[in-house]
Amino acid sequence: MRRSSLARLYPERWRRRYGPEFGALLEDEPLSVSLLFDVLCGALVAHLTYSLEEPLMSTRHFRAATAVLAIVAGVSTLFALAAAAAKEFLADQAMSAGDTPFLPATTAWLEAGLFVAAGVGAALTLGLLGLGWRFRHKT
Amino acid sequence: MPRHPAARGQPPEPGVLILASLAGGPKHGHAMIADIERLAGVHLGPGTLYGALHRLEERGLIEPLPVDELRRPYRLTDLGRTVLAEQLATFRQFAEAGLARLATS
Repeated sequence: MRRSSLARLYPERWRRRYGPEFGALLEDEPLSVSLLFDVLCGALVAHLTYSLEEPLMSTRHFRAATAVLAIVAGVSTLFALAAAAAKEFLADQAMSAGDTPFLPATTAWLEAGLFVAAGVGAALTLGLLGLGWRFRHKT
Repeated sequence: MPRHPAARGQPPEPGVLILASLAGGPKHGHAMIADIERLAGVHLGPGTLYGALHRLEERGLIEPLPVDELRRPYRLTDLGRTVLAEQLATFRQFAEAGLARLATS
């Protein structure tokens, strides 16, 4: 393996600027564990630096993703509320008829799943809104 | 006694070492590594070197020169020279104060 291929660990934008000279320098250095560790740490810092400098997605994609997640969260919440109301209704009917309230386990699982989906959707939407706020001047 | 010179104290940060190296004239990466090793007894790895070069260039303290056979030399800017002078003056002030205290204690 050519040592210059370690430059591929760096972000593409960084490689466009420093790639050839960095690769030439790597070819001059003897291969060692400390070299690998040093390059790995440098690549990690470069990725972190560029990810903080650049938006993760374009404004258009960001808006579309937020809208889809908001719809998913909203629909899931409505389903969960409807399932909870249906459960109460069925339980009341069973009680008034003198039967033991019996609800299939799938109903409870469905309700719990929808609540979880609504929570995850809401959290992702809030996260995306936060990212959008952070990168609002960069798109 | 410490086994390695670096164990006696933290070396200056890579950015200052690079500025000090370039104060002697433009150099490419490999020449900088060798010069810093002679100057401060510190071996900078390529990842550390280029991370610091990127930051120094972003801050306008150094500037790249045309590539010479895949190796790109860098040189100090006027701002880099001023910043290095300020840093070294701070080091000298600190060293003189510390040495004076040692002499009187």
